[in-house]
Amino acid sequence: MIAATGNRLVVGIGAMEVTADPTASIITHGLGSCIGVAIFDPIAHVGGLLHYMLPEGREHPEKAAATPLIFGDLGIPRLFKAAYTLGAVKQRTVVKIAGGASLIDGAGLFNVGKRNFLLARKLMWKNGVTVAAEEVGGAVSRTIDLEMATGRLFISTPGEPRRELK
Amino acid sequence: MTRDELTPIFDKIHPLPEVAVRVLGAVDRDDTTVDDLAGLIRRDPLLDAACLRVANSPLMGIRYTIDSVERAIALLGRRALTKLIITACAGDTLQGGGAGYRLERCDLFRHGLAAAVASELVAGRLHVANPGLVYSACLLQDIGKIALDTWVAEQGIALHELMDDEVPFPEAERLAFGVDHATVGGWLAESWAFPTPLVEAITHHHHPERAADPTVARIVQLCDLLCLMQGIGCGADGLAYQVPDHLLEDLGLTAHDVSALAIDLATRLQEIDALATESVAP
Repeated sequence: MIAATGNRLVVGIGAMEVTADPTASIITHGLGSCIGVAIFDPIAHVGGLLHYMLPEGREHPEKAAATPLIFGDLGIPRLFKAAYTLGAVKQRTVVKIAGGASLIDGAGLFNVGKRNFLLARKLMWKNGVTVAAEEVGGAVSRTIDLEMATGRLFISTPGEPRRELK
Repeated sequence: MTRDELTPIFDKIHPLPEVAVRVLGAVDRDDTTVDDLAGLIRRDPLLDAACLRVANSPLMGIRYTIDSVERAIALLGRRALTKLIITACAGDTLQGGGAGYRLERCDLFRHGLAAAVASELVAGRLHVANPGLVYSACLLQDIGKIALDTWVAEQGIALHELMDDEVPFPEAERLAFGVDHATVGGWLAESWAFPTPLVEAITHHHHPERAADPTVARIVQLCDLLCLMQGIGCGADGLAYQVPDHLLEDLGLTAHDVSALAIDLATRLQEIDALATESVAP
């Protein structure tokens, strides 16, 4: 799920990457209805990125056991724990969220974009974590990359210039 | 925009090789044998490299190393060989969409390939009678975007400006040009002499109820939506596509089935990406 190219770490769907390498950047492509959660502790200089696809693992227990990072409720705690093992501290960690786009779905058959985002917000709120910036919803597929040298999160969409999410 | 206006554009697009078109006409037909398919492959030596690349990709799930087309013919059954030929031939055609749809070079093939893989997952659940047709239709569903994109580039039209979160993109295409990419894809498929059921599925994959066989078109639409949901090969049109209220009911699936299919597709994405990147020449 994760392939490293030099110091550029590419995160696939249902995967995450956490690093303390200041020369690295972590990127995930084409979020669609999925959510990308980026975290960065500017003192410990530890950052991470998770790309999850569905809100809750309990709907698919067998698949959740095999691929927990596909689910937000299982992936988000793992992302934070992995960052803590590298020295990140919760109170200093800056959290940014992107993705959660939706198809035009009146009957709500594929309505996971909004549910994905609500799950992230709920988990952050329950754990006393503030979301510093977010760009969610709409119908656009987003790519995000975390620049470890600065902790800045960049966002790009097809045909539009890359810009910082802040 | 009329079909006649687009005909000069069709002539500029890299068509599927003749061997692929012949194979498309033979998918799901019990009277086609491995020997028939082998004969077609042997007539087109240029197909060797592409067939070997696909045959040896993890996506195909073949446990042996395939070092020659002859070995592929010896090892594979009719259905796998059919899929191999069609997939190998599609990479050269499914390029474009960069000007108006804002797609990266291998995005059309990546999207088609992912939808085709999704169709196999769906076919496994629904016991589809014509899995080869469904696979081909998923792979080639968006050929119309190649033609429409070339046309808007020549006209200097900013296709991405049609994007509206609330308006299905095919509807926006029709409002702007009088035609959408699915209809254009059907015209192109006809001009390449694709079999009629495949033309139908491509033409109606955003309105399956209009197809002679709505089930095939519905599966193509479902697989398309599964890919869009995961951001696979999304361009400026993004996720601005309509989910019909009765799509799942008509197919006998539930929302839980859809999320299970999405998970299964996600676990194959690394293999899909690898093959898409290798197959589309830089």
